[in-house]
Amino acid sequence: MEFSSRLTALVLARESLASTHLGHETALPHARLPDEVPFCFGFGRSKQGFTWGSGAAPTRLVFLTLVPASAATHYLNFVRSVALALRDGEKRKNLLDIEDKAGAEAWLRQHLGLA
Amino acid sequence: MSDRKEIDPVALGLKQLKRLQLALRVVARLRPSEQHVIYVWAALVGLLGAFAAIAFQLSTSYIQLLLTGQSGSYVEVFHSIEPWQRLTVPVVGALCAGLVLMFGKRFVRARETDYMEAVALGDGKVPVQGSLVRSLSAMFSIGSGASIGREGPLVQLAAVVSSFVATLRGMAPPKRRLLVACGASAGIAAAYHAPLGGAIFVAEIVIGSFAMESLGPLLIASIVSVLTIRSFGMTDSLYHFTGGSGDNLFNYLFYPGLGILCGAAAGAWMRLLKTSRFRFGAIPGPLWLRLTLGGVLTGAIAYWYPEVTGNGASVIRNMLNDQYTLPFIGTIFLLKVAATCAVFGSGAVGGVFTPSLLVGACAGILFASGANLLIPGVHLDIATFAAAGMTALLAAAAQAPFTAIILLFEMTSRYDLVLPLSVSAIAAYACARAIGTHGLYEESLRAGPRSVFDRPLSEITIGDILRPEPPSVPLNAPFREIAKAFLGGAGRELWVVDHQGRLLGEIILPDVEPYLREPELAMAVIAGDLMHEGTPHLTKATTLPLALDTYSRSDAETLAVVDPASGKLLGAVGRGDLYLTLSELTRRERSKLED
Repeated sequence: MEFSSRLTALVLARESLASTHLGHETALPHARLPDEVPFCFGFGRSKQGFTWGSGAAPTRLVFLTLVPASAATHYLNFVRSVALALRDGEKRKNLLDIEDKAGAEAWLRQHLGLA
Repeated sequence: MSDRKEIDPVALGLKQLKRLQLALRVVARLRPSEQHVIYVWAALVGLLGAFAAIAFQLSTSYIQLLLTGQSGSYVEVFHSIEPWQRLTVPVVGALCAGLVLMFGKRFVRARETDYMEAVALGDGKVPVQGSLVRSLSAMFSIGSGASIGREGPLVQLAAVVSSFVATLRGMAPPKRRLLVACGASAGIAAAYHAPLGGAIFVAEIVIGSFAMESLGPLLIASIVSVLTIRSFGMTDSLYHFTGGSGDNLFNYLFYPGLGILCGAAAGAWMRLLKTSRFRFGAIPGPLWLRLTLGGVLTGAIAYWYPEVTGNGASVIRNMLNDQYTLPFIGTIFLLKVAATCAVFGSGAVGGVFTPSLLVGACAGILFASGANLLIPGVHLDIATFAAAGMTALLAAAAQAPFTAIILLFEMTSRYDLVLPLSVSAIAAYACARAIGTHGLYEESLRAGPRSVFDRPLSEITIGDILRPEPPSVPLNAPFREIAKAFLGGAGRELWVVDHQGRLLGEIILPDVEPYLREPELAMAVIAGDLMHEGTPHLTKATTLPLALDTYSRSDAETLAVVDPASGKLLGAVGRGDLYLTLSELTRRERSKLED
């Protein structure tokens, strides 16, 4: 199975256990993978928003995370950073309004404490 | 994305979640270990043990009132009743006690358990019905003035209550045994108003270790027990006396002599008790008849000397306060020995702790009086030597000098006597060991209920001591469920299982802490996100040395026990459970070697 297919299956399997919708227009889908895979995440946004699962509120921000099996704590700290940053409506609006990739990267570095 | 329902924090009751988070934050901050949790249970058992002691005392007083029309000190009551009553009351009481035992045995199929066995051994399961029958029988014996101690049934009642609590909580055998030991400690502390003595008694004689893992809970149980009985107005030291002193250096030359005498006397005392039980056992006829015979002998002696009735506590108090003449003490000494042998030998339920103290007090008084009489210029204090005799005889008879010193110190409330008591106790203990005296509780401890601990170390496995049904949550358990499991009694580890009950991983309490501040975050986190995979676990077949090795390579407080074939979570074993088991095995091995 290709890595992307496997990844999709893992993310959907996790989502089937319980929604990763965080509130604040944000979802945090993720998959636990073997330790060889480094911790990494992808960020996506939708200005008009879409329905995450069967939830009523629109979701505009999505952080897809790949978590090595032994880095659960790392992941959980990351989730906490995202939640803390995006509960602030002003910061959330800034992220949604950023026009380019560089701006988004700068926002993420600043608010999620990334190196 | 998933078609599962979106979780709405408001709909799920944010308020309830916040309350859970607050409670869990407290738990996470305090990080209560298994040891801390057992302290709480020890305190509860101490409270229940004290209530059991009070209930037992009230019951015996009621029976005394029923049989004699009066209540109070047995000696005083027997002095004030008619002579024919002195003869008949012990007989009626013994008959009732015998009938209770006889009918009890018919209805209760459980194995008969001596109180020390109940405390000390087995897997901590004390048969409730059998113990209640024995306690009821003891109430009749003691309430009718039998020359026997009340500490036995009292401790057994406290042990039953503790065992019931431990079983109700689903504790593993080692923890259950520790809690039963706490109940015994509470019972002794309540009986003798001795918080330290109660704990030290169980630690030295029963558990055979002063490690804080066990001594801490024992102390808590006995302290709570004594505080409880004090709140009911029972505040006096049992054997407080004002005269005497341990200051005279010259007198210290005589304490070892008294110790040696008591060490030898303890051996004879133990043999007498054993022989009387053997002789009575050989008498043909039912048990109630033997008990009644013991009652007849007690009544016959009490007819002339009511001082032999009861456990002897009031007689000891009078001796310490110089209320009796020397010939009278000599007579009481002989008659008390005879009455106690008659009651104990007949099979009556009870202890010989206080009667042993009386024998020791008599020995101390006779020794000091003899020295004063025979050696010119010697003026030994009679009361001090009586207390030293009590300590020495107890130290030798129970093979527990430290217990004897602490108990007598607490029972007399005399710090100035600690040194003479210690010198005589150590000499008595050394003498008893040298002549091979068997301890008062040795037989019970050696012949206790058959249990896992009677097998060689190599044959005992984790399956013998595991705690079934450990706290677990499913993979998709939300934060709310995880928090509830931790608050509901899970220790540091919470196990994650799949829908078939197979172990997937574990959640440890410190990991949960970051989610206590953000309710929304808690909504998005499930057990699967928090769990650690591949943590060490045990199987039922794992031997104790191997388990110890596994623990040494892990910082876990509790390890899961898994079925190797199916991967199902079967139970858990705490680090403390393992240590307590090894401690008990060590004690037994030592006991075997000494034999």
